Amino acid sequence: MKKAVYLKILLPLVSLVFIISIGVSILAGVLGAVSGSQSNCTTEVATSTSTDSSVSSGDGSIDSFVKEHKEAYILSWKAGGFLPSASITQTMIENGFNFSNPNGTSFWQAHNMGGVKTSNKSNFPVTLATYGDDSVDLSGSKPGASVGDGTGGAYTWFKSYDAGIVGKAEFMAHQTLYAKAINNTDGKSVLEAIADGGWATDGTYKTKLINMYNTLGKKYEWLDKEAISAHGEKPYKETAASPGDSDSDSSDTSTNSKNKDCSDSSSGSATDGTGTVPADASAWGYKPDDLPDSLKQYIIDPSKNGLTYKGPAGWVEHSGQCVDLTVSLGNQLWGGSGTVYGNGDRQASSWASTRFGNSTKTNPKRGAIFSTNAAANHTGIVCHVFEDGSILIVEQNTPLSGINKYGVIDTWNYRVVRPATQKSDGFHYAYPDGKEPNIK
Amino acid sequence: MFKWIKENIIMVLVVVLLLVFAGFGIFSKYKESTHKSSRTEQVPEKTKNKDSASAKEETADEKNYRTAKLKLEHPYTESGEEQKQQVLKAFDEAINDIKKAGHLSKVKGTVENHLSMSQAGMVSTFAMALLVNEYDYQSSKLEVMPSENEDVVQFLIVLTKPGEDNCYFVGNFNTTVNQIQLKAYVGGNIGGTFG
Repeated sequence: MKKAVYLKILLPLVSLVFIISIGVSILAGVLGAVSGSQSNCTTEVATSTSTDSSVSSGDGSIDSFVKEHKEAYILSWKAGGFLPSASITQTMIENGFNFSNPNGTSFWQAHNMGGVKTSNKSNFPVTLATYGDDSVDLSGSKPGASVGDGTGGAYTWFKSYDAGIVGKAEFMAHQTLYAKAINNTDGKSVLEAIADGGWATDGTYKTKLINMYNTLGKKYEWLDKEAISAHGEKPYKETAASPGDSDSDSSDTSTNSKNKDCSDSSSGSATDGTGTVPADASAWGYKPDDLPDSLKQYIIDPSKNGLTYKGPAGWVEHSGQCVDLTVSLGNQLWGGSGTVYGNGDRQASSWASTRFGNSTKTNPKRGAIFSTNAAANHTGIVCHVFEDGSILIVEQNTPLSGINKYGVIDTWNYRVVRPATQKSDGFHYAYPDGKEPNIK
Repeated sequence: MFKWIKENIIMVLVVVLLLVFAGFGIFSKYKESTHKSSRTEQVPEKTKNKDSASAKEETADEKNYRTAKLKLEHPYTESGEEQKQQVLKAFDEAINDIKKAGHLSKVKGTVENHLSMSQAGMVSTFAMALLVNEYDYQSSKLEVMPSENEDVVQFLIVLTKPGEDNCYFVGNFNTTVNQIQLKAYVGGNIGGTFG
């Protein structure tokens, strides 16, 4: 009986399952091979994407910023009698609440809520007491502290946005020019007082402030009410004699006399093959002033290596061509003088044969001379090689530098070049064997 | 053997049917791919592309559009018409200001041209596309979507140029202060080197 069951039911059933699985496997294998061969025929699409990351709406939201720093705005009313809605309005006019602009603005890097120049640390008692002794820096040497508008001095650097919000109110309260703006509960009147006090040289400044108050400031009158409710209508009490209007204390302040030297701070020192392309490096390329802070650690700064932006010091040809940047900076990095003959596409091979005594290479390296193929006909210097093979280059004669489209000789720009572009444009490189570039 | 088959006739039938179906499937696939490759060999390059399209393969432009769109927080939700008009107006004024400046070195993001919230490098890239690469902004193709923040909507704009891939810019738009924040671009032949 058992044998019959085994032979007639169990064995056929097991066999059936076995055969079905074999059949399905064969079918899947064949279909997989067919579809696999189809995908091989699919055209490979090289997408030109400025960044892989998604777009966060928080980067463009003033409302979320204000709510996040609400307590600091309320404290600023107590610390300096500066009405929050007016403070928010002025920040918008001064620096556009630009959360994504890393190009040295005082807002992004110095947490400076707009135009707070260096003065005296005694102007910031509440800020220092609340956020620490290191929350205010008046040296003018911190990121974003450089003033690029030609008015002299330097911006105050704050450790955080909270410190910047309270610090601005305290700064305002310590300036006799803006007395009418302090302990004033009318937003428009506050802004008029600031403009009348001479905060900005722009003749339309007052109009801009009032228009922006109507657009933005009014939205935060609820914050004014909360601040007044918490600290009263006249919260700021003037203490000892004010040290004066932006007078620098030599013990705290060092005047930055080279505010606008177009220097990119200094060359970075990152090792090749390290780091990823920063998410905020989403533009096609960058003029020196626009370079994101995130890229600065990777650059070779020509201004630190003997070349002056807009010349003439250090430049070989003054032609505004790509070759001029390569030979001028290349001489500084690798030694030598004068030009190296050849168009952009021939520079790497000329450097390899006449200067380095070797041949061009396919692998990039920091300091390497690069050339593209004849079609692209371009040259420049490699600043850094990222983990994924992308390179940061410094170059001349693009829409952002040089003679042809930018119209200014002895200039340069930076650009991230992805591996796909290196391949399509035929990038190749020249550098000596067993020698490192002399990068400052 | 015959006796065993007779005793297990149901199972045998199932197995036979399975093998027949599998064979038919393999034969069909083989025939289809053979037919396709022979057609491809005979037709010129342009027809090849048509075949690809008919097989619903994604074009480079479609891929770029999808890549750009998927960077946004709510890519498949439309914002209100009022917000769309706000963005439309801001872009019209921003582009007019860029064209008025005429040269890349003179273009700067300001409150007045609605670009004060954009990174300077992205303002340059956008201006480069319009002034140097001569792309045209297509206002009719503007897409505006809601975002995770009340005072922000997100946008996708299309720049076109005959003979070149479209270029898609995406970013934030602050509806309180009417400011454009360009965040990224996908596709297009932007930039250039000049020897």
